[in-house]
Amino acid sequence: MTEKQTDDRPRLLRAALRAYPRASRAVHGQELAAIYVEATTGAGRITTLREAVDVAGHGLRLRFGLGGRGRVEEIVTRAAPAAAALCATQGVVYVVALAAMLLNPPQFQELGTANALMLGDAAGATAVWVAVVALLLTGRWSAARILGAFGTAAQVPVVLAALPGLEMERAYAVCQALLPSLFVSLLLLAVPRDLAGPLEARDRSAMGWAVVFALVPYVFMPLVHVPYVMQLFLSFVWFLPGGWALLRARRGDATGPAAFALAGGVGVLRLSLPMLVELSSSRELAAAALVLAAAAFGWRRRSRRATEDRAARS
Amino acid sequence: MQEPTLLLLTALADEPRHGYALMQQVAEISHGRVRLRTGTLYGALERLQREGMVRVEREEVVDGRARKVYALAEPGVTALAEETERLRAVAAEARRRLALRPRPRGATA
Repeated sequence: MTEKQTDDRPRLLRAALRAYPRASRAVHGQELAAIYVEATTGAGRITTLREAVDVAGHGLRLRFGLGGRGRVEEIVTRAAPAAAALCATQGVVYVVALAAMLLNPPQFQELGTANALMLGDAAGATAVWVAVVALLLTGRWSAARILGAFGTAAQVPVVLAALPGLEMERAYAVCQALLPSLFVSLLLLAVPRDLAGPLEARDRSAMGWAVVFALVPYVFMPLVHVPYVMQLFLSFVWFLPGGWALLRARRGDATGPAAFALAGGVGVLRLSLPMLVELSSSRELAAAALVLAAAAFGWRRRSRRATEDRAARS
Repeated sequence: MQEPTLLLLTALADEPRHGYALMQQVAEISHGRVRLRTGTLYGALERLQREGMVRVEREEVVDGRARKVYALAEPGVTALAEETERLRAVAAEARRRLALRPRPRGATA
């Protein structure tokens, strides 16, 4: 690709193509530009902008390892509705439990601004995720994505405003309040538009299982009279879907279990991670962060190599 | 099979086409209801190539820009035929059941 050809490209397209891994951009840039130019010739500003955003979205998916040879796209597509259902159910359970606690005896007056903000955030986020689930069930993915993204963005200033006045650990509060919403929003955005359609029976079934999986641990609560043991169980039960997926991975198609394990990430982020943060010393947390950073670096290298291989083959 | 995939395979069923022609065909077949954008189309074509349903027929240069012409591969033909048969069977059953509905009183044939 020559410098002159690059300069001929519309400014928006040039910006969108920056989202692609370098190897993909070098191989597919010209063809993408050809389609983009034809699609936007004579089109209005909004259509042109939407085309550019769509190109950038595809580039970002490639950059984050989606669209490779494996079944990552399919796993993400199947995981997103289940994750949204899990997020909504956990939110409902949390808000109902908190409201019941605050009503008997009435304690709303003594909440304080920070706690009231966190309660408002939890109730608002729950309403958003319940609405997102309804939109997904009716096949309206675009509306679900937009609502999820804006809902999550709206949570950030509320949680930030509440943090200084909170009595609990800040990392714990951020993990519980923000990370699940952020995770589900990103999952919804990562689903390729052409795979996002009416949910199939298996997707609805996965959503149902996610709801059951979110509720079942609480059934044991009255039976186990050791609150700390129960809390540990509730926090770490979310690693079970991952273990199940690993066991199934050896037996052919493990897309379903892998998708369910990915959806279970909501539980890990909402309950396991805050518990780990609470149980661990700052040195252990730093070591865990280092391991995660190394894993992310390894994943990025692997997906970049896969992209380069693909680009070289085509 | 999701609708965009079905529409893409249908757009390639009669002859090989390049990216923008596919966009136009998909819009035309769906009567403007489905519009694939550049990144979505490209991603879908990459996936269909990986699955062996679509292949690159040839590459050509138009106005100084390289573009690929895509064609339906044999597994794509089979998948499209199977999906078409499934839809046809559903449509036939729907038509049969609609014909069995009691007509409202006073309606004329």
